[in-house]
Order: sequence, then structure tokens, then C-alpha cells
Amino acid sequence: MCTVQIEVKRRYNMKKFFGLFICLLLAVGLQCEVQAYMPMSAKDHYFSDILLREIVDRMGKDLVDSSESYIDPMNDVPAHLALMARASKDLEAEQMDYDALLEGNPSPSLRDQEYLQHSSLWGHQYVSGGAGEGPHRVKPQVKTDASLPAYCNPPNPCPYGYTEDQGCIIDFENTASFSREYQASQECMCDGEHMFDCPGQDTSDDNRQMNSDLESFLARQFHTGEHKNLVAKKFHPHEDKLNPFLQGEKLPIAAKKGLNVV
Amino acid sequence: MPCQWFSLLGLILSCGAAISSSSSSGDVFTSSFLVRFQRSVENNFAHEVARRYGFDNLGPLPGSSFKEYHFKHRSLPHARTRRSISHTRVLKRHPLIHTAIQQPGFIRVKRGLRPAIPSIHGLPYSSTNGVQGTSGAEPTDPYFPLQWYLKNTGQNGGKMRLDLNVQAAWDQGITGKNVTTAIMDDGVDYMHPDLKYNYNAEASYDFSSNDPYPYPRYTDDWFNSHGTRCAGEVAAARDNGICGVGVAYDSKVAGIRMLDQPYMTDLIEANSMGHEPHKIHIYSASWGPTDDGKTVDGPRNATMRAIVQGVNEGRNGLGNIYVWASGDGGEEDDCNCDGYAASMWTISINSAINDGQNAHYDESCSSTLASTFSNGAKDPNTGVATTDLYGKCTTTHSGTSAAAPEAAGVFALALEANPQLTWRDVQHLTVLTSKRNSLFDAKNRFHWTMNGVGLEFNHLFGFGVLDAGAMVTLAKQWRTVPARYHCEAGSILEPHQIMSGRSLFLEIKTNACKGTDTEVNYLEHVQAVITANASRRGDLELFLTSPMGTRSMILSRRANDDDHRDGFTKWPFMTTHTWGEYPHGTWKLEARFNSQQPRTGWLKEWSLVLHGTKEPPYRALSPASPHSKLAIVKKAHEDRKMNKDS
Repeated sequence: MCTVQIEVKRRYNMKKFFGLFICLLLAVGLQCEVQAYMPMSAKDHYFSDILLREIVDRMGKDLVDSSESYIDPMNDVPAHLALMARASKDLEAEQMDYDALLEGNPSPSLRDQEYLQHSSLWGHQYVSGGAGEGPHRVKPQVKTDASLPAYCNPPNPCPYGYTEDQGCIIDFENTASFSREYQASQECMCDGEHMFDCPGQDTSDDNRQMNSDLESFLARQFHTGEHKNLVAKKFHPHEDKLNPFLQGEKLPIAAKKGLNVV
Repeated sequence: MPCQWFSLLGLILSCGAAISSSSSSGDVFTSSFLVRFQRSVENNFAHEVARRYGFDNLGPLPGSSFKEYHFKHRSLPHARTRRSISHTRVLKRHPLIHTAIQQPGFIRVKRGLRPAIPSIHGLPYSSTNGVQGTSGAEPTDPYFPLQWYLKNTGQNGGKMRLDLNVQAAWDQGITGKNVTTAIMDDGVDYMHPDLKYNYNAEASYDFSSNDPYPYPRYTDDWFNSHGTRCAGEVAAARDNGICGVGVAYDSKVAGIRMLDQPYMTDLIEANSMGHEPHKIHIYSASWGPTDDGKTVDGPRNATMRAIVQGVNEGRNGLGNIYVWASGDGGEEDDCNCDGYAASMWTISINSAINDGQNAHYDESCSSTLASTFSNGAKDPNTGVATTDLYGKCTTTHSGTSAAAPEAAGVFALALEANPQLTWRDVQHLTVLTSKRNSLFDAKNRFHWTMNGVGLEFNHLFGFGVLDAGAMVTLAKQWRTVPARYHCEAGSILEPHQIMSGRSLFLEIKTNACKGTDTEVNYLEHVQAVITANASRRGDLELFLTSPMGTRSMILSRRANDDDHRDGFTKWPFMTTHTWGEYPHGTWKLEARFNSQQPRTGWLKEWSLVLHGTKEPPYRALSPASPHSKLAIVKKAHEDRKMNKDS
């Protein structure tokens, strides 16, 4: 663990690191008390939120310019709409860097989960927090945008009275298997929540035996992430060789600590 | 030392995570952008601009008079946690572009109870040949006997005649002809033999894959059967030997596929609700913000504007009818925290089961206008029988999801009976023809109460269960209600502390804008726009009492809502309970904590907004029976007018 800490020092300006740390301490300390007895039922929800953000953040990260900052709020909404619509303060508030760290980035348990596969990406996120701090950002990773993570498109059979000229399919059979096959030929994100087996996934995967809440939740998330660009894929070791995230320089990073730390 | 610091940091971060769970943060940004031009531009021009910067133009936003467009970037990931300033900036560089706003994604959930076993085994339909139905005859469709919500003969322990009374409407020759209901959902199996000929293809669209064909996406668990099931409730064909029959079996359904993507954006919602507002008469939505009992969310700006435009201009000026499922959050949630259901412009529908109880998943609130039927969840066969994916049929459609399309079907019948009905007429008809029947609260918490003009309401069921026969009959002789006004009746802007064990009472005395342009004498909707916070939001309860003594619970306890930070900011709590009442006098707001634990909070602002007519709304109508609700309200209005004049 101490080795880890040293590596952190190496990577980051100590002053910044501790400054950030103090911010965290102040900002969070006050709220700890209240949140400490969060009901177990809520657990899944916030794992869900955090993980989702984490995954999504990773998907988009490499596209982020180092010059990037945060953008204008929607400032010219008519007043009467603002009154009727939901309170917009959260929506529009400019996000500060440490806010992003506080609200979206991983808790230790998540970081440790990451460690199971390869820690560097997750670990970096965790420690840096202010990844948006301009020049301190690590160099962007290279990834192709050729295929975006979106669900498959269903077939478009011709409604009654329509012909093929209108961009629909005449030769159509209204069955589950037709749709399944139609969609299987597409390059798209497998919907792990609603597909029993995602194409290319090893069905004897021991994900099926996961029993703890967290594990099964992670599994669900990562099936969702079956798409080639998704970091979540690293949970499927047999596919590591295809995963662009596993290539390139490994970052010497804190999350190496593993499960037994916290 | 550094090591300890490090584990302390870990602890702190875990607290941080806990905070994020209870707040509304966690924005995810999509590849959709709202682009506002300096002036109106043509679609082709917008196409050109979009193409130049690597975007696709998906078209103008409803209600923006060609000033705002929906752009989708071709290579941005579908979702990410940071806004992309570079893409925004590149767009804003164009001289004609005023602003570009990247759309945050958020979660919307379908309002169906998810069956324990994925219902992938829809029963195959039998192929008995139907006989053409005649007036008074029952449909011959094989599933009709299972459709207890259409005709309750006591199937599965149900209560005889506790149904939508559709036969009475059909017997008048009213079957929904020339009316289109759009199912805003996960797609519609428009190749289903029971829906095929009642499908309105030209009013349909697929916003999830951006084409005109909203056929559902396949998943192994057949999750995307929701829209097809809802469509069948409205417009499954009659006497064709397939599945059952729709409430308005000669009406058309359009599919709007918009729920089936990893994220929802404001633009997709807005475009869906503004899609073909002159071809689509009724929009039915069986989804909304997560029903977890701790979410406070609603339509965002573009969506809100699309709804307002639909109501103001849709159906060639008569206004679109938006039907909303009140929610499946159960007693621990309150649909007034769902800005869609709580809106005045949507008709929010709750559900009762086949013996008249509320369903256990029912989410109640004072904005619910009426109820229809859904399953009781104990015996799956008491569910709603309807069409299912891939040409199948099901008997287990459930949730308030199943209730909203039934209501949409009944409204389709009313619109055939009188195509000139405005969106407000439909709400008035709903209030006047819904029946208490034998609806009751299984837990005996909420009782039927008479409001100031003699209309019975219940917090769970609104004004009762829809009665298609009565609605069609009254629709035929209906005269459009007088103009509607909006009166800002008063407000209290000083903060008041709310403490445990003691109710806070605030009062607003109003003359309902008397003598001004916006005078309201006969109420429709009432909104209490409230800013408040609490050390635990879920323990806060709010009650609004009208000058005529009608008490609405505008916010109930939500056991799971542990927010202590956001509270409510100018949140419009709506009640329909005071419909028809006279608003002059003193309105009381009571705020209190329902909790054993000590709580504190502040009520920072309360504005009272009254909506209704200056003139008595039912003056031109002659009630068929002196005991009808119309007769009772009309008499109450006349008596009051007489007292006032004398």
C-alpha cells in the first residue's frame, strides 16, 4: 500500500493532491453522518448510478480534448416554463472538478473490483479525480468511433399497404427468430439486461455463478458493455486480446491494492 | 502515515458515493444536441449546417417554429459523463447558431410490473372464424371472455359489472372510427394480425432507430412487448378470431418507438409528444421517471414545450389528449413527484383490480383524474388480456401501464362520438362520467369524499372508474366549455420553519383575480407551487384545503426518499379534487412531518395558481337524469350564482 502511495506521488504534484484531498474532506465530512445508515435496498441503485457513469465516462474519455472545459448552462429558458418544469439548479450548475470526483467517481469497493482485471484505467480515475484539470490529464487513448454503443436496430417490416420502395422489408416473417437473426447480423451493443446470451460470449462463463449482489450487478453491467469499445469487456478474460484498452502503456497506479485492503 | 491517509481517503470517497446516490447528479451526456438558430431556418439549411460539422439533422423541434433543431453527432459516443465543449463550440462558431446544448440522458422506466417469469409464452391464438358483430352482440374473439375489464361477469373472482362499460358505447355505434391513438413506448408489432389493419403507419415513427417503422427490437426475454400489449388494449380488431378486442376496435393506433434505448433525452421525448399532432388525437404513455419512491422528476424544457404546444395547437387547435399512467411506485411513492403525471395537460390514470380494490402497486396522488383496470398480481390470469409480440396473445399484461391505454381507448370512443371535443372537454367529461362503482381502498386509508360541488373523489382513484357508455352519451350532447383562465391567486415568499410534531399552517386569501382578465370562478386544476426542503424529504406531507373545505393530500409520505439536500424547488403540486368549486376565500396549506424521528425543514415559498373558467362551464348542457353528476354540479353552480346575485 505504501508503494502505491509513492507511485501516486510520482505521478501527481503533491500539493495538488493534498489540496484536493482537503477539499474532499471538507465537502464530504459533513454529509457522512447522514448517509451512514443508507438502507441496503438503495445499494443497488447507487452502484448502478456510479458504475454507469464510470463506464460511460470511460467510453467518452478518449474523445475529450485536453483543452476541454464545461459548457454553458441553458440560460434562456422562458420563465414560465422554468416555473412549471422541474427545478433546474442541479441540471445547470457548473460542475467543478472536485464535484465530479465526489459525485460520480468510484468508491473504494468499486476500485477494487476494477483491480480484478486490470487496474490502471480505473485506478487513474479514482486518484486523479480532477482529470479535467487541463494539462494534468493523461494522454488520451486512441479508439475508433466506427461503431457506437447503441442497441441493435429492429427490422422494419412493411406495414399493411406499404411497398419496398418506402424503405421497409416485404420479405418478413413475424417471429422472434426472424428478428433475432436480423439483429444478430448487426454490429451493435448487446443488451445484457435483456439478452440471455450475448453473441460472442462464452456461455459457460462463470459469471453465471455469481451470487453476491454486487457481483451479479457488475456482471449485468458488463454484459451491457459487450460492445467492442466498452471497458467493461475486460471482465471477459478470453477476449482480452481484442480489447484496445488492454494495449499500450500500463499506468503505475494506486488501485493495484486489491480487494484485501479496505 | 500516508498509508492511513490513503485508507481515510477511501472512506471519504465512499461517503461521496452515498451522496451521489441521493442527489439528482450523475448526468450522462448523449450525442444529441439541441441547436437554436438566431432565426427560423429551413430544414434543408439545417441539414447543410449539420453535415458541415459532422452532425445529422433529425429535424426541427415541435413548437420552435423552425428555430430549434435536433442534431445528432455521427461519432460521439452514445453517452458520456462530460459535456463535449469542443463539439458545442464548433457548432456555435456558425454565425446563425445562437446556442447548442448537449442533451443529458436520463432514465425512464416502463410502468408494468415485471412478471417473475418472463412471459415469453404468449398463448397461440385459436383460429375460429369470427362472425360479424351486430349491435348488442358480444365480440366473438377467443380472448374476449378473459377481458374482464371490458365485460366483468365475475371472472376469476371479480365483481360483476365492474368494468369500463364499453358495450354501452359500442351499442350506440361508437367504436373509435377515425381516431388515432399513439402508443409512445418500445414499439408496436404492427404486423400482428389483430393490429395490422388498425395500424396508422403514416402517423408512426421510430425515434430510437430514426426511421418510420417502429417495429420492436428483439430481446431474449421479449421485454419490448410493452407497446404491442398497450396497442392491443386500444385497437385490437373485433370478430377476427384473434386474441381479444380493443376498447375502440375500429380506431387506429400509431406506434412511437422512443423508450428502447440506453438513455432518454429531452429531445426524443419532445419529438415523440409533438409527433404528427394533427394526425394523432391521443397520446398514451405508460412510462415515466423511475418509480423508486425517491425521484422527483418531470418533463424537461423541450418536452414541456411540446406538451403545451400539443394541447394548444394539436388536433387543429382542439388540443391533443395526453394520457398518462400514474405510476407503479406503490403506496411509498406519490405521483405528484412525477411531473408528467402531475401535469394539468396530461390525464393521469390509476388502476383498480377486478374486485374494486386498488392494485398494490398503485401510486396515488391528488392529480389523478380517474381510474381504469389492471391486474391484481396474485393470480396472473386476472391480468389484462391483449395482443403480444410476434402475433401472440397474452393474459397477463399488468401495472398502471395497462390502465392508461384503456383510458386512451375510452377517449377514442368519446372523440368519435364528438370530434369537436377539446382537450379540456375530455377532462370535464372524465370528471362528470367516471363512477365510484365499487372501488375501494383495500387498506381503508382513503375514503370517498364529496367536494364542494358534490363531486365524489378518492385520493387513489380520482373521480372513479371510466364509464365508456356514459362518456359517449354525454359527449354526443356536449357543448364546449367556456374559455379557461389562469389566475395567480397569491403567494407567500417568507420562509417558515416546519418542525416535528407540529403542523405548519399557511393561508392565502384570494378573490381569484376578480375583476381582472383572468378571473376564475369555476375551478379546473389547482396548483400549489412550492419550494421547500427537509432534513428528510420523504417524511414531509403537504395538504391543501380549498375555501369550500376540500382537503387534498398534495404530497404523501415517501418512505424511501432520503433526500436532505435538494428538497423541492418551485415544484407544482397539482390537485383535481376541487374541480368545479368556487375558488374565492381562504386556501390553507398544511405542512407536517410524518415520522417518529425528529425532522426539520423549511417551507420557503408557496404560490397558488388557479385554473378554470369565469363562466359556469355546464350552463349549455341539459342533464339526462337529475341524479347524474352533471345535474348535481350544475345545480350547485346555479345555486351559488343565485345566492351571489341576490
